[in-house]
Amino acid sequence: MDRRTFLKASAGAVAGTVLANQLTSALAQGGLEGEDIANLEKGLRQVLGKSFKDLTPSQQVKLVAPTIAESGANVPVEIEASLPADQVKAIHCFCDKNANPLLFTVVLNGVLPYYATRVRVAETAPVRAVVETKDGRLLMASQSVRVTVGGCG
Amino acid sequence: MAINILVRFNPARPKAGDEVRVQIVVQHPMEPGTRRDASGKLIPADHINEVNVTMDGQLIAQVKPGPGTSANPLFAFKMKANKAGQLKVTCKDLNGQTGERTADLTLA
Amino acid sequence: MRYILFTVMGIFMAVQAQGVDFNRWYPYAQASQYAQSQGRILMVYFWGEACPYCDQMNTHVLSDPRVASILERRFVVASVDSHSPEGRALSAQMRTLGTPSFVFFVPQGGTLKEAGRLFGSRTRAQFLSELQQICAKVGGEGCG
Repeated sequence: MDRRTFLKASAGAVAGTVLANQLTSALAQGGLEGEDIANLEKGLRQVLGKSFKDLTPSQQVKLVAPTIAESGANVPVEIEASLPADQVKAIHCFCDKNANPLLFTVVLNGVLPYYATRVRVAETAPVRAVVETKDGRLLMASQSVRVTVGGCG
Repeated sequence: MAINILVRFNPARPKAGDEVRVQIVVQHPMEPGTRRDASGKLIPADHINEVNVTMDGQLIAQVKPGPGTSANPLFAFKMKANKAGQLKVTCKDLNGQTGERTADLTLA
Repeated sequence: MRYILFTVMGIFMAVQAQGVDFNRWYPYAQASQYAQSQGRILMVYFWGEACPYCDQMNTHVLSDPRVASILERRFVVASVDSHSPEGRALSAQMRTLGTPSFVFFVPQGGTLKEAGRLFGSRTRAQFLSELQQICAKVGGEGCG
């Protein structure tokens, strides 16, 4: 069973200790909960004309988002790049499972490489911050946001 | 009706050379076009698709929010408060409605 | 004369029924009538204005193309505001736990028989598979 199949199979199951352990090991292998690269690719191609493999995970990009969101309608995200302001061209943000994976694009021209907003997340999935530099590099930070399911009493 | 925009600087009066956070909040439903109303009909997409921020007439940031931006959105930036000046925020939505707000950045 | 009137009314009703848009939702009385006359599975959707889980269903799940498509093929949706007087009465009658709740009925011998129920929001994939299960249990085509 590959990781993708496992996550799909586990999504509907009740999380037990065994499952939690398996999930932890799956995450340790580099996968993020709710990852959907195929859907993400649609947005990347449309917006950047690039593919997921063209993105470089980087410590220079800091993405702050909650790990658990009570409502997917209002998820705060904060993106900051530790790069000189004049090297950053734009910040893009995507979510793997949204019907339209592009959340926003912001072009910076004289402000610091920082942007904060609130976004909609359709269901548990990674949010990707992509910093586009003036020399054409695409630096990425990813974090999975778990959107709780439930009901109101 | 014009779109209502609120602008706040934090700190309100920064020292010259300090970092200042520009907080913009816009009152807008940001309809993504996928939401169903009480009779199950899709509410047409109507979200802000462009926000321009200028400082003394020079464009310093442009946001292109998609349907994935929350209702009554927040747009926050950081800049160096090198000199006092006038910040202007303009935005437009898919229905062609526009909004505009200016705010003066004053130094301590 | 009366015979002609009935025929005309019959044709008119048949035409009207054929033109029913099942991509939208109806008040409970109308939806249950369509379920009977069109042989569809009735999905009673209890929602609340201030419930974020309902908003999540409305924005991302019920508008998902695959979910919308199976609902349009085999179901008729009754939209019930759980805080309205009618909604409170129906919630009590169907003993729902809260919102969002989905209670399913199939027309059988002139009445509607409960065929399943769901409580709480869920992901698109899960909701779709639950609709498919209920549809398959009832039988017929278009459950895929």
